[in-house]
Amino acid sequence: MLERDGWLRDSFMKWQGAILLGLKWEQGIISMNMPRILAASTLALLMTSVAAPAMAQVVVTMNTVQIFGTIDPAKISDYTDYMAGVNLYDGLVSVDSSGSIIPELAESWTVSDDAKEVTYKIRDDATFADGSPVEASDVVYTVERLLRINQGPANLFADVLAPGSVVAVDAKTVKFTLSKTFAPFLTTVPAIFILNADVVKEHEGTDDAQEWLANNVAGAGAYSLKSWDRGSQMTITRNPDYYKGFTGKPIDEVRWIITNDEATVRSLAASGELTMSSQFQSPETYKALVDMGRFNLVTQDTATAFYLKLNTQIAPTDDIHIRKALALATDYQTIREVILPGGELSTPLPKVFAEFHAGDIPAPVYDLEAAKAEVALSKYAGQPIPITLGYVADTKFEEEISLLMQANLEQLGFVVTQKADPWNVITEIASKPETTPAVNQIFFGPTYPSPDSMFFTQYSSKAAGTWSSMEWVNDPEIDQLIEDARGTGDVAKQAEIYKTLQHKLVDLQPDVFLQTQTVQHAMDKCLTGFEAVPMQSFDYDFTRYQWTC
Amino acid sequence: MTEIPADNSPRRLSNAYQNWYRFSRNPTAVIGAAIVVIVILAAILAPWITPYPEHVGAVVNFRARHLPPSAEYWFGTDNVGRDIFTRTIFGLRISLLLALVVLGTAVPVGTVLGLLAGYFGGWVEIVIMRITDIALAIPPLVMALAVAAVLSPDLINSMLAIAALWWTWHTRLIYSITRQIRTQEFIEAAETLGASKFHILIREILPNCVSALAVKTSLDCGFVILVGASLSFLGLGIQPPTPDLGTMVASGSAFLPDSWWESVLPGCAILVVALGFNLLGDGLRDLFDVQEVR
Repeated sequence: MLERDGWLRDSFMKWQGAILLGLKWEQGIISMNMPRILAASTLALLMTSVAAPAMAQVVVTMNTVQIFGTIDPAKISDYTDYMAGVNLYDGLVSVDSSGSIIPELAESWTVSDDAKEVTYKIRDDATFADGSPVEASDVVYTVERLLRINQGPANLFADVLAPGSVVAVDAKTVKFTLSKTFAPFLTTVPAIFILNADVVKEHEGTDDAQEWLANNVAGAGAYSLKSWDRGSQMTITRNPDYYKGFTGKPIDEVRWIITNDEATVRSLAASGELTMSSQFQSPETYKALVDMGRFNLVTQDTATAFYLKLNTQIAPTDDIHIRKALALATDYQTIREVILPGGELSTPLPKVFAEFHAGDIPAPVYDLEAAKAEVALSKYAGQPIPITLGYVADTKFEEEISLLMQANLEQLGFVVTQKADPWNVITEIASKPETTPAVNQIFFGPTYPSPDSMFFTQYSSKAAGTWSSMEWVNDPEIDQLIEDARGTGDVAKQAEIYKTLQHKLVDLQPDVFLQTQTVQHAMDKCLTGFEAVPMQSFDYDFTRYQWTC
Repeated sequence: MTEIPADNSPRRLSNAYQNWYRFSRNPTAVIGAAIVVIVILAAILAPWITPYPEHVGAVVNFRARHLPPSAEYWFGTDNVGRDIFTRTIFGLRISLLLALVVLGTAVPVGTVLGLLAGYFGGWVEIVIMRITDIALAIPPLVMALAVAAVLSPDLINSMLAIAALWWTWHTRLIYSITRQIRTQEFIEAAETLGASKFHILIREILPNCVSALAVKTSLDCGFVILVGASLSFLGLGIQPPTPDLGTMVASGSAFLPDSWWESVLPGCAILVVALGFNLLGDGLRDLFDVQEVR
């Protein structure tokens, strides 16, 4: 039932939006009446006088299309959660736009020869938002709590960290001992946001402070939570005493407004309220915002890939020839140039992972004749082939891509059913092969900056049963290759394994490799600092942004 | 309450010409009837009268997306380049189908229950009317949202949800009429003559409800179409690519205000259809002199 709540709320908000629009219109009509004009101007005067002292502050207002699910570092899991997480908390290390690990609370780290022991040295001046020092014991507490609750980022450490494997060597030194060699470990550490153990223990209660941390923050982040209204907004303010300090003109306050309604985004921009759009607006909205003159359109290629995930366990996509036919019947160029801007994707791994990417695999092509030939080779040849195309409801470009696919597939003898589901329903139907549609439009980006994130989560049978593995590949050979790459610390050897893996997956065609995502934001011309980061939403760490006006 | 015409069916039939005369003197009623007839004909003849009937299915023409209304595309084109005029006319089919299914279920059920409750009284009345009261307390749109949340959001479920509540209004209406009629002399006469209960309900009481029912049903048509469009607007309607007016308004609203035609023109179609049924209903009410049907 809870799962459905989000969807109901979306509908309700849309409805509310319609009512609000109606109200606005009505106001326009009656504003001719004199007392109302007076009242309105008084109100406007009041509002400017309230806003005046705030002008000195740099406030960034950004819209985001999903609600913040949780801010508990042991539970955060999706893109939106991490957007709040990276600002409210700091980890031992962070990630930059090239995917490199950079120091945060830790100033340095050493790795033992067998890659099983990692020791972090915490900076002397690192403090939590309440001024108390960050110590090794806080890191130990955070990791133990994460493993106890076993949600959110805990899955990254499932076979790697056991309770008791993290120890405080001294007040400022902490040592992680891994159960086995796990090459991507260093890249997963940014997902651990360090808790202020003393504060959390005060509110521990019987549930490990889960209830308290769901609404409160106890971390070392540059921002603290000011207000949070689950369905509509979250506001965070800068901690002036942040241990790393700030340079230039930092962002004092960030307000996220939750709406996926294009008209609302435009009216927020027109009224001067919006500073930065979400990355999920329609091309029309971006254009309208840029035409207002106040916004730049910032475009960057990302490590997030956009796939048509083909369910290899159900008809008709259980047949390799049908999967090949689908890949050939996809009009990549039209999608990239007209529907959704993006970069070329030739294998499951985006080119951002340069040293691991199999560059010898050619980009997929659109060829309906070849697709027809593949259909003829399949066991479903010579009959109408029913197929379901799933996509996320209310996502314009996905609906357009789905219609484009339908138009092409109908020429090949497919009988197409469109299935638009809200996101929370998709996560539910993705949990079983028999409820997963044959074709699914899914974005997947690395949750930590390692190719392992792309391969393990999507293709390993150990990670099956989520929206990121709707292919249900379940291939022992592929599982083995993924494990082999994890078990070696030798980068050259890893690269070789990942290239073999890409060849195997392209041959198996569990996906149509549509494109890499180009992230776009309409940003106020005074705001700079957005650099796409190949890990969750670390690119919305607002300490990286500056106000230039 | 409802005023009962003193005459009953045979004589009223002979007055058909007189009724038609009175009806045709009422301009709004005639306009309403004309709109309804045109809409129904357009929906039935859609494949022959629309310029691009193939645009109902999965046709994409990205070169022609977001074109404003022109001689080629009367209502402009949508985000994948389909003719909105064609899709609007086909969309009428879904709206009318919704009204037909909902009222086709709700009117007979509501009428039968209303007759039983009004005629038999006692426990029958208490049970039926209390259930009716409960059902009346639930707003149809909220009920449809709840049903769509539990089942999957599609047109059939939405129709069922609306139909499951709509009968109540008809039950209330028929109940109040039946209560008044059952004490009248011609019913007593029929009972004295030993007519069966079935005969009395169907042949004596029902014909006296027909005019009120006709008015109520025609007014309801417009309202059901509006509720259906609201549901589609909220994303609980039919799945693409099948055209539906509410869905078209919702998906077009993403492109406001630049491509205004994508939501405004299908919205106008909803307005015209609902208005047509309302004018017709008002005209019928004046004609039959039925009061307080709403």
